[in-house]
Amino acid sequence: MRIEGLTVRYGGFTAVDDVTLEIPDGHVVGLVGESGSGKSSLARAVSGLVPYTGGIEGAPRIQMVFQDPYASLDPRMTIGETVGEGIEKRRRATEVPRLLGLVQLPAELAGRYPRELSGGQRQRVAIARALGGDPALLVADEITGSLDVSVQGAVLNLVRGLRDELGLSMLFISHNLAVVRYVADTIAVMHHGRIVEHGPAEQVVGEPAHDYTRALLAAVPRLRG
Amino acid sequence: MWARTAPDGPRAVDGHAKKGPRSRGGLWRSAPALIGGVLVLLMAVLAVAGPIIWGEAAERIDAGAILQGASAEHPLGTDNLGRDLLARVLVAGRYSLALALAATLIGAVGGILLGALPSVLPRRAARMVTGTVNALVAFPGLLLAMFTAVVSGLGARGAVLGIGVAIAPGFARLTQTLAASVAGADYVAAARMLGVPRRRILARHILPNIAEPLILNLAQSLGGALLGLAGMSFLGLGVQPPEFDWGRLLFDGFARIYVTPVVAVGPAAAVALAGIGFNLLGDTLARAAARSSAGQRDGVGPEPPEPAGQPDPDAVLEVRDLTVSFPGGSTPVRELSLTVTPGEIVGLVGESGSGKSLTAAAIGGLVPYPGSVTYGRLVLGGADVATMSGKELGTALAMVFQDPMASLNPALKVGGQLAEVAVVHQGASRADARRRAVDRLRHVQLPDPAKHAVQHPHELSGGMRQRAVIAMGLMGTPRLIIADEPTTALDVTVQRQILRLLREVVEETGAALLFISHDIAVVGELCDRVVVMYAGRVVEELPADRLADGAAHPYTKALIASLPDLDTDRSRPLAGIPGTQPAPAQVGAGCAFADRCSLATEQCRTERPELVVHGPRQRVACWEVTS
Amino acid sequence: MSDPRTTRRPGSKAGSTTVRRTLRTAVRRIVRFAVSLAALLVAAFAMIHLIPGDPVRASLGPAAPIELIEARTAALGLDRPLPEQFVTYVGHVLTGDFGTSFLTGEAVGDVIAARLPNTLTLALLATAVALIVAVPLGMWAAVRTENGRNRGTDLAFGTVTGTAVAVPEFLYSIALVAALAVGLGWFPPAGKAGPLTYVLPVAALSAGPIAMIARITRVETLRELGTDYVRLARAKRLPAARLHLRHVLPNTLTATLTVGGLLLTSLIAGSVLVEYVFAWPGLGLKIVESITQKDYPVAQAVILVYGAIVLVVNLVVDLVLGALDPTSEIKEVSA
Repeated sequence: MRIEGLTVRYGGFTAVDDVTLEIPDGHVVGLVGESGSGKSSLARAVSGLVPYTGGIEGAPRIQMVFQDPYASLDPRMTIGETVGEGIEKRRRATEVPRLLGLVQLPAELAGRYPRELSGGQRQRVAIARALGGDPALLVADEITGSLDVSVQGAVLNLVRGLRDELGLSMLFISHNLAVVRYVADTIAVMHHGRIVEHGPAEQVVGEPAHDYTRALLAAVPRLRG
Repeated sequence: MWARTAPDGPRAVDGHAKKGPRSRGGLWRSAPALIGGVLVLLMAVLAVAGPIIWGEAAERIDAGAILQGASAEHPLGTDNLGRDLLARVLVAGRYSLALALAATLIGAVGGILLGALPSVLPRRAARMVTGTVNALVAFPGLLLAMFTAVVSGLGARGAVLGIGVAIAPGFARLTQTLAASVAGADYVAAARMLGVPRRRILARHILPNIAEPLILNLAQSLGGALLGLAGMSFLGLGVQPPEFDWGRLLFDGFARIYVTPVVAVGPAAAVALAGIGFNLLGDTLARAAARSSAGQRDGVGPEPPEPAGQPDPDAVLEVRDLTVSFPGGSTPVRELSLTVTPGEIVGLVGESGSGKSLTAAAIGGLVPYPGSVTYGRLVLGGADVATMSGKELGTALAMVFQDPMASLNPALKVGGQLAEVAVVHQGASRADARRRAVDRLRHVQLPDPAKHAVQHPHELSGGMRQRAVIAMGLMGTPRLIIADEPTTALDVTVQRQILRLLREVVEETGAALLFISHDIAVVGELCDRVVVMYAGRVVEELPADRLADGAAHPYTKALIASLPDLDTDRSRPLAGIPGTQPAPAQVGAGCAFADRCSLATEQCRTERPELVVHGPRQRVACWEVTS
Repeated sequence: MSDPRTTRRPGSKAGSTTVRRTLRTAVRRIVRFAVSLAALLVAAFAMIHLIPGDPVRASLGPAAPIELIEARTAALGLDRPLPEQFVTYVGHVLTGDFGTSFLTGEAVGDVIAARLPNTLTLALLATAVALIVAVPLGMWAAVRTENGRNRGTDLAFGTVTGTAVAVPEFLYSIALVAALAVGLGWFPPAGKAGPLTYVLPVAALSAGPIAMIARITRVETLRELGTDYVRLARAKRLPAARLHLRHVLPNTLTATLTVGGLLLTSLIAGSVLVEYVFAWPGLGLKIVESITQKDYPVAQAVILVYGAIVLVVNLVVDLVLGALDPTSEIKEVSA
């Protein structure tokens, strides 16, 4: 799929400024940027949640996973109901356990409510719900941003596994370069509403072409030794 | 005027999505709820039984007992036809409540429709409806009610209609706010993307999540309607004879108040009790909708431990056996010991719920009630914290919190907030304090410090504000700076600058820094020494430069392994830690990490390992590593 | 992060932008006020025409001779086409001509001019009393019950204010008259003559609002006490008085002022019942009389005046808040 000249404006403020981005089939495109860079607005525009100008071609079904797993599940619906939303009634009984299995959750969780789950489990449920929409593209907006590190690893593994097993295309958004590098095939760097650099993950990290990318890389904290 | 809502009412809107229906029991037991419930129940019984029992007595005309005051036969006196006033008050309950119910229904139905309208109308029309509702909400109910009553004619019908109209805008506003907050929720966005039709989103997501607060609001509206109708009847604008409600009885009674005040007592008490009952109950219901009960119980804190060993004369901060506990058996920090020497940067690292922030709060004396803090020793700069004056503590200890947007008072100028430390604790004159504030702002490399000192916090960026907070800590002569996740809310490039600033400050002032963070990479980069916390206890202490390959505790190792960095092998899965950290109330007798640890043995599950020396400047609490 | 409208760009912090934005908001508020005022004028005009049947006949009673009704109808212009009537009405209102009373033949404008000051005095006094008593009370309760300490105080405060809020002002009025005027004879039971006569009406009018504002102040104060900047102020070991007066109080003022404004409008309306009980020669008493006696020109004019006062007070509160609160324009945009 291809994003062509996409622009998002809120009143007089341009959050996303004429962005063109290609997401090849079965690829994970990582999008990094700091707060206010427009990465979340781009995600919401691609998902059709905010009005935009410009074009999005070749992606009929788009689903999104949100940052806060405590806000993205309806507290009044069971896990099964949440995951089964958007699936035809007669297929629900077989699909819900399958989807829960895909995100490595036991099928018994279907009868539980979100408040009974941990943050990591909730985020898996949100991913399962998105997979239920049989997406051609999955938009993941800071999905590990509110998780603890020890839980984050498992969710990132899951994301990579889904790409490998299902051939899922993904727009993976994070402020954390190391996280994006780990899951993405290519990395796009966003700054002030524009994409300043886009290339294969190792190349962007190893031989950054843009000054801003270099500044971002230099700022990533590293363990010494 | 009579539609006064409790101040907690609107807040119900914000919080409702987060609560679960559980644990509402505690609220019902509270006294106001009980009083309200009993009063409302009494009113309901009165409405059903009143006319049946006293109906005849209320209509019995007695020419020999006209306009009497209180007597044994007529406790509240009689009216101008000699009818017993007590009986009439008891009978009037049904009519008063029925009218109030009718008015509430009119108001609720009209208001909810009006409030739901914007979500189905086109944008422009929706904005007009919203604007109208907002304008009407500002109008006092009485004005709307009187207007409607004039138009629809004097009498019960006009009054009910009028009060209904007066209630409607409030309901419309509540519906709008609730619907807007739910419609903006991520789960509604997710449903929209799954192609769930609008109608179904309304039925499955929006209605269930707004129905409860709306229904709960009815109790309060009913009380308001009852008082409103009583007021209208009292003014002679409502119920007309021969019908009578409490307001009308009060109207009759008021005419005689100068001669026989007792005749006003019955209807006045009835109106007051009904109003109080519905209001107290409605208040409780609104609160129940707003949040789940905290369920605080009174518990006895642990005994303070004996001070062990000799104080460390070189330490700027020495903590021995610090425990923070909350009533109900929750102990988020357990027997923690920590030593920080001058000029040292110590990182306190752990995941959410590990107790690291409460440790910082306890050292700063900021643990919120009802938490209780005990310690064997808590020494700052050679003096026991308990014996230090506010002035000594205020200048010797500096604190920096996570969110620089929230750390500065939005109502006060930046410079003034810095200067007050010097004014209050050091007796500096205002001008001197100002000068010092600007100097400190310059010291933390805030550009144009004189200009920013006279600005309000919202005029500064996040990084600038965090610099200002650090400068505030430097107004005194701090021996210790406690920084609780000071860069978590900042972008990485700004984080880098703030970390560098903290290091420079430590080098220049010789103060020690206790740096609390969830990010082991940041801690490893900035700090000299790292203290790892898990479930309220220290599990490992080691020099920061040994983190990468010298960490011994399985938790520390797993934490490092699960953190991707720019050199992580992308072809191999990331390590994670199965399971979750136990809650502070659920930590058992053994090692708290045992359930998630691949090395765990039976001993780990039953006996808690102590922190023991494991190599140079390293201590570990783990049976498998140290035995 | 997700909503860039509330994210303040570092570049837009210049003072002139803030001033311009404040001005723009002010203009928008004044426009909104003008629209509301026009709507109010239409509503007041429509009132007479919405009354079922013939208002003149209703007012004069069934026995009135047909000539009198026709003469009265013509005098009021009710026989003219509606648009013409409206234009005439607006013209009259704008020149201060509110018509004449059916009953007394007085100019309604004169009646309002004589009585409005009495109502305003009552409402302003009650608002002042309410704020002066309630704000310290609410702050005190918040500080005492912060984080759930002093459960007893919390419970007592909640129950007492919850009860006081629920009692309508006419009951306070009646209770005060019965106890302090008729029973003990300390105060005159009715009328307006000298300072003593103000005490009971003002007390009756401010009792409920005191409870309400105290509750709001408590909630606001508790919220402030939980903020990071108050934690930081505590870490600085500021004395309690400075902490509460300098750091907490200013941040609760926005809410208090908003409520104070709303309160003034609701007290102006609430004074109707109090004036009725105390036979206070204000507009409230007049409106009750005019409605029960079907003196429609008076009722229409008084409702119009009440409505206009509400709009003016709301406008003033809005403008003052906009000028006071450095962050209000953010709320305005993101609301």
